[in-house]
Amino acid sequence: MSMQPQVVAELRSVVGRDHVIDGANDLRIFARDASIEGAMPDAVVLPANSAEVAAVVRLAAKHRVPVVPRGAGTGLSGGAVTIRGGIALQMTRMRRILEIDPVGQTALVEPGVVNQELSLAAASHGLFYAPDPSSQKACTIGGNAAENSGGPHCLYYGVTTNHVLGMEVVFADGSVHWVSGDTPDRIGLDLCGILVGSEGTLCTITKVKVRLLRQPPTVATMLAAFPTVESASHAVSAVIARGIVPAALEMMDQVTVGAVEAHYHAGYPTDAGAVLLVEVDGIAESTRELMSAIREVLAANEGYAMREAKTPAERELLWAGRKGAIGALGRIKPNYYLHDGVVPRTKLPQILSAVGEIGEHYKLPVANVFHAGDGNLHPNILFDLRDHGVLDQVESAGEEMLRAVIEFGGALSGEHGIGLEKSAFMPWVFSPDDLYVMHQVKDVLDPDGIMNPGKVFPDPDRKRARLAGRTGLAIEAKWW
Amino acid sequence: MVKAPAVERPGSAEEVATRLREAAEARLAVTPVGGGRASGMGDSTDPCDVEIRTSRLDRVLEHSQADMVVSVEAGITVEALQAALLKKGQFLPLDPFNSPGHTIGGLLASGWTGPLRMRFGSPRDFLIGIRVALPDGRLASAGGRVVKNVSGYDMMKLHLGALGSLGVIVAASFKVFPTPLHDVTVESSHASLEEGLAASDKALGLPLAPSALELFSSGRVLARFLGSRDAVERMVGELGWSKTDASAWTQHSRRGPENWARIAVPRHKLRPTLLGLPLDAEWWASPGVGVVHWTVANDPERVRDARSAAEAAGGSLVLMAAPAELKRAIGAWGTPPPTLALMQRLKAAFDPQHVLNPGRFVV
Amino acid sequence: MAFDLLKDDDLATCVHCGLCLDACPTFRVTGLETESPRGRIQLMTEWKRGSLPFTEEQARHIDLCLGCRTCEAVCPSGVPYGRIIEAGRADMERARRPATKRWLARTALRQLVSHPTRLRAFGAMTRMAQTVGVTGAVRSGRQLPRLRAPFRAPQGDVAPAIGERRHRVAFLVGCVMPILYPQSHEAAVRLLQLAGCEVWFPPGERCCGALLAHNGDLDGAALLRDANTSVYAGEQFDALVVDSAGCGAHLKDFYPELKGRVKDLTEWLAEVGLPPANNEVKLRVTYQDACHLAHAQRIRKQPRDLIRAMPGVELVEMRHPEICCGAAGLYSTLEPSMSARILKEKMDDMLGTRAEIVVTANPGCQMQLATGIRSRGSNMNVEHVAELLLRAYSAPSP
Repeated sequence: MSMQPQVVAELRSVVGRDHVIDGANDLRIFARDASIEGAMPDAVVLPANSAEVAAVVRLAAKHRVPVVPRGAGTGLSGGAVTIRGGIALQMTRMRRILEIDPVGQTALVEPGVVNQELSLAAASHGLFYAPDPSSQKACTIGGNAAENSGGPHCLYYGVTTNHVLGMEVVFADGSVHWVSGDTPDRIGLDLCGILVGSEGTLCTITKVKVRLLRQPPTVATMLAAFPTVESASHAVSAVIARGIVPAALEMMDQVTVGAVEAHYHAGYPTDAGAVLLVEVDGIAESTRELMSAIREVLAANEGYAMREAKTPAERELLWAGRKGAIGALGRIKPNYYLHDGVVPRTKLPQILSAVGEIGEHYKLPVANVFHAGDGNLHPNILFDLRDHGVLDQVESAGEEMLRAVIEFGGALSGEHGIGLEKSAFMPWVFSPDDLYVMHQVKDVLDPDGIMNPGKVFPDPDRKRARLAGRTGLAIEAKWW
Repeated sequence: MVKAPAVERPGSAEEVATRLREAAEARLAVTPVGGGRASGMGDSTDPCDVEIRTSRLDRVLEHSQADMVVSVEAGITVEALQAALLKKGQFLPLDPFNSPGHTIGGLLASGWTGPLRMRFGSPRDFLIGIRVALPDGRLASAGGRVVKNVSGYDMMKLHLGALGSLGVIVAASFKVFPTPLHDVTVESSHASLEEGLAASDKALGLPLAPSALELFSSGRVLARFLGSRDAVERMVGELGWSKTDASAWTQHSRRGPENWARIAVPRHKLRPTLLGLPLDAEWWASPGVGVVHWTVANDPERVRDARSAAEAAGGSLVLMAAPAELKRAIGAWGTPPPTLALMQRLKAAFDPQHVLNPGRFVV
Repeated sequence: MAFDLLKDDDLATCVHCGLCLDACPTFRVTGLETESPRGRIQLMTEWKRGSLPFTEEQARHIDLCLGCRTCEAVCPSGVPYGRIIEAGRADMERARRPATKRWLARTALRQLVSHPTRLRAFGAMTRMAQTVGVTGAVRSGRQLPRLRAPFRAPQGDVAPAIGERRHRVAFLVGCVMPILYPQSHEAAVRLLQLAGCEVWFPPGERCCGALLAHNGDLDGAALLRDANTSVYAGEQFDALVVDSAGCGAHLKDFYPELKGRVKDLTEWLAEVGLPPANNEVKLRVTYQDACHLAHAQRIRKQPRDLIRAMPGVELVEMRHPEICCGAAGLYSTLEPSMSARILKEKMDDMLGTRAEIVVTANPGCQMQLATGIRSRGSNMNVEHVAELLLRAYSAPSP
């Protein structure tokens, strides 16, 4: 169903001629994000400010047209895919950093500000913005807040929701509101808290106020090799069990290391079964003490070839390798598919071997690169979309892996969001009552269902889980 | 079947949900009660028809030491939970005032925090799962038992600090923390507020900031450093204050004046807030957070002035406990947020009969 | 429509992750997926696979690519974007209706750069026009620098090493550099001599063909390559040193016979070493990466190291030195409006450093930056990195 010309004309009168795209050929280019899902919007609209967003949403509400906010389109769960058509509300023109307050240690930004741009701007005040998704070079703060994004350093510092102080949002009726602000305790219900991570299904974010942190005086980053992913997993648990929470604790398996090394030449040991990247920060005394304790634990768990970055440039290179890892897998196969399930850390060895077995069963290569400290997996199933019928196999394998995660007491997504790709699996972890109550919130804030429809909640018409959903009761018995 | 007036002590989450549904069907007003430590909070209401007490829901459901995750029933007290965690070398940074006796459910509903919030954040930052009984008899869970989770809406946030107005929290899961490697408390005394503030600033500006720092109207400053031994000792050395026993914190947490208020402002606006309080005011503050707890007199003018100043600074003043006439004069919560109507719609969706704590909370 | 120069395997290396988006100058100013590397690759892929029809309208998205290859440098999947865009443009030129502006530009390019005498004549005319003040007649998207006498190779086509002769290098004189920026060449040659290199100027050498290749004229570029390869064939040299980033990148990609011997000036100087400086200059300097140096050749460290080694010089980085200034060969002429938007962003960043001099390593960038600086009324100066480096050596006493 394409959009009525009248609606397009009205949109143009709001944001200006050049900022609405409705040519069918060009719309195809906006069909996808970084996931494998795709569906064409009826129009792409690029607002310049909150007032324009509000006007666009009011138009959409009047005509009952879906609105799907879109940042840089780096999301991995299909959150920005216009699965029911409508308006792709591209926020990338709103990319001003409105204020950095070095005294209050906050920043006020428009949603299209790129994560790394904020960190660069904060750095000149000795501050930083903690959540650092691997796509931080391109992903936007608005997108981060909508998805409640994580990143390697969230192990210690927490995810996006822990750093968003308040937001200006446009609700489905076009009303513009500030939720929370900059005080530690607000009055009334924590709307900001429920809106962060709501994946564009409750509102469009038009401004974000975030907390900035003081840059730590010292940062120590170490790479360690392990004979197998199992031994590396044990090492991860051992570090945490020792009472140490590093700033970041990341794992890459051999497949990943090979791909990464080919691009970054970061000196990762390509013969190791797995490598861990560990970072601690703080004052020199504490990083020294922590790092030496970590070395001890890693060595006791078959860790070898431990190498600490000696210069900031070396450290940056080690991180560039980690953050570019998923993209680097393109060197092996042109497409990847991954879920970002989370397991309790102690289950890492079991889940990784289950993931390996599933990959073997489907004869699909799997590359693991993930936030080990959080137990947040990223098993990348590698394939070539041009191979006939492969996608079906890939999706089946992905679903089995995610199911294994749930069997080990885990969660569907640690940071990528549910979006389109995991919505069918929600009944695995949430009972009908749980989902009903979540949907009550949706119904209150978006009664006509125009905000990013088809996401988060299961849509049996579109996709069903191949593996049967469990009853809510079974899950509850296990949880509580 | 619930009949008013009644005090219900359900023995299971399911029973909480049933009692709640029955009350809602009978249009009986319900007050959920945990430890009763925050019973003075909120606007004055008529006595409730039914009290649902969570005291029998006091079990640790699961504590996975290696995963650093704990799940508990809502009626367990903070002290009982901490004792269980301590046996495994872990703790939760919960140190609310007016202790002991807070239950976990009550603490989450009240949204109260203590000094350790400076380093660890509030429960908002480490609550990872929740289970809530609702007036329609449903039991709804959200979150999970892993430390990082974006599956579904973050329903935890709605119930935190909502004073039981959307549902009764029956269970919760938390990310726990290892007992610090080294834990040192120091203090200093100052003749004036200015000096006390200067001393706080000095401590807060250290490269390893204290994990908790409290400033008192008496001019006393109490700071707690957690971390590796060398780091902590260097900071304590640089500061040069006298070491004191960690039990100072336990004593501090017992503060719970008969009448008191909580002022929250952006951290950097705490100084003018403190300077603006009456000279003879008795208070304690977390300058690293932006929160002041103030022992108020039954003097509406003074409290109203302080509230105006706090709200002008972008903050709030909430009565933690106060005489009914003071509450009636100025209200417990202050100026409602501009999103009040939305909040009321959420309340109506969760509690259409308006039986949960009617009139007590903001919505 | 056949898109047979585009290789499906090249296109398929893109995993659609989007990490390239904010590295793309046109995406940064438009916020549009269609003006991003990921969008352009998708478009060319769909053309190639026939799932989208070729239209002139969408061809604009390819026209608007600067070819700066910043995306290629940040791409973790190793997408060969430079190769893709050159092939895509060549395929596209065959598919589309001839457009007068592009055709004129290409023909003029072929005619001019392939024939040194014509270029020199053009230079002489411009110089004359500048002298008598009728520059309006030759106005283009950006202003030409004030021209001096063109660079000419010394007698015998060799400049001797200063001190011990340790290397013998060939030097690319090229097409527009000797006319527009003779002083850059002069400084580059002088630095090479100081570094103990005997510098040979290949007689009969012509334009390397970079400008043609970057505009989709691969055939024209191949003709020039073949002519030049035969010039280099008979002679012994350790390296062919190039002080223009665009030419260096093209030579490295397009001249298999020279494999491994093409060196950017800064790359070579960092390798062989310069003698100790004998002149301290107090200067605040910022460095603009030339796209064809930083992204196509991945050379970012060497010029910075050389600059930092200069006594008295403070290198102040702008926030995004790696982002294109909007010059991009003929781009500023063909796409003046987009070029100006990109230049504006660059100026905001660059002038914020409050440097006295901005240094870069490519003639097109120099011209574009100078235009931007003048339009802002700033007194920042633009220099080729060779000119700056030479300031560390006091002029030989007469």
